[in-house]
Amino acid sequence: MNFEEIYKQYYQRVYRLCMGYLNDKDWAKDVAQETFITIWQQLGKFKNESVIGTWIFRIASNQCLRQIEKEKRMPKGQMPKEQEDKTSNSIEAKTAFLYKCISELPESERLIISLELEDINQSEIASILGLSEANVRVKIHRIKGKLSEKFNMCEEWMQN
Amino acid sequence: MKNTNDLKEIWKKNESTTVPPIQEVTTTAKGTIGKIRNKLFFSGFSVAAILGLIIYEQQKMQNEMLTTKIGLTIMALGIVLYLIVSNSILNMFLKNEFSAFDSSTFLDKMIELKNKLELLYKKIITIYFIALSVGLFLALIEETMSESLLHKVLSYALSAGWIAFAWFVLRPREMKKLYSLTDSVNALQNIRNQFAENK
Repeated sequence: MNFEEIYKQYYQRVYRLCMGYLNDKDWAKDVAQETFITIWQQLGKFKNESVIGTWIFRIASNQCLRQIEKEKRMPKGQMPKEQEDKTSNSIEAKTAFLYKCISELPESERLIISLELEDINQSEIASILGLSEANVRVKIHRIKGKLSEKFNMCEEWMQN
Repeated sequence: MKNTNDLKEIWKKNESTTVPPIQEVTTTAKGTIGKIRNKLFFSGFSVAAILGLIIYEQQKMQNEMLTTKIGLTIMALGIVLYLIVSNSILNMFLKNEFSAFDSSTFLDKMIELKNKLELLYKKIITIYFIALSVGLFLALIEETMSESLLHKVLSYALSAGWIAFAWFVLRPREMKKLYSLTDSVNALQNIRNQFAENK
């Protein structure tokens, strides 16, 4: 797979992972770009020992973790301004709410759930993050529970 | 929320409205490599130029006193040491060697690297400023011997002023970088602990 194919196939997926971690559109775009710069630089070193997707998401996850150096920019749990005023039950509001909820989780959980929602299987998530598969499974179950609960509360609040 | 599959549907609704052209990425990537090369070249060039200048000074200026020779050598060693260390640190960070490791290992490597860097930085910055100060005073002894008392006082006062500026203004500024580095190590350690709990 050449760089152009990787870029086309993975840009939106990497961007979503970065959004899940950062909940800031501009920042997520910057980190997605940094990820692809690293991929471009390291592509020659990729040895097919792992699936290319696993390799790409490792780089993207690590690039997100590196953002700790720019912690002051971290807008933890903020809704994007344009979404704040929307009280309707629109899909945009739900999307913004989901990303807000994820950004309020601890860093490791943000990555776990973002990868899970991106349809990456649990053994791959374990390999990307260096965790055991059993733990990934338990964590995903717990995080999804938390998120569903928050969503139900939010939906009830919107209906009243 | 009927089931967790709904979460996936909502998650996937979020797409970047614009995908930056691929040329933007490749141009930046090539630019980054160019910048690294330039920095490394400039750093190597600086080391060579300083060494050349010191050798020239030692041979052509006919300095006879041992203090001058020792002073110039100490200054040169301080500068060269600083450039070599800062250059190698820059190199380690820019190479992105750990970027494709799994995240737990990546965090371990980053913490290890930052700890090494912290220790190195603390020592090297202090050695650098001490070497410059001591070297400058030793070199001044011969330079000011034939000057009038007023010139001597002025030369030493100016040098002392520069050293005070370096020690109390420049050094703390460099040390600030170290404090932000310490913050980074602590933050990384905090995330690493989350991963360890999950193992």
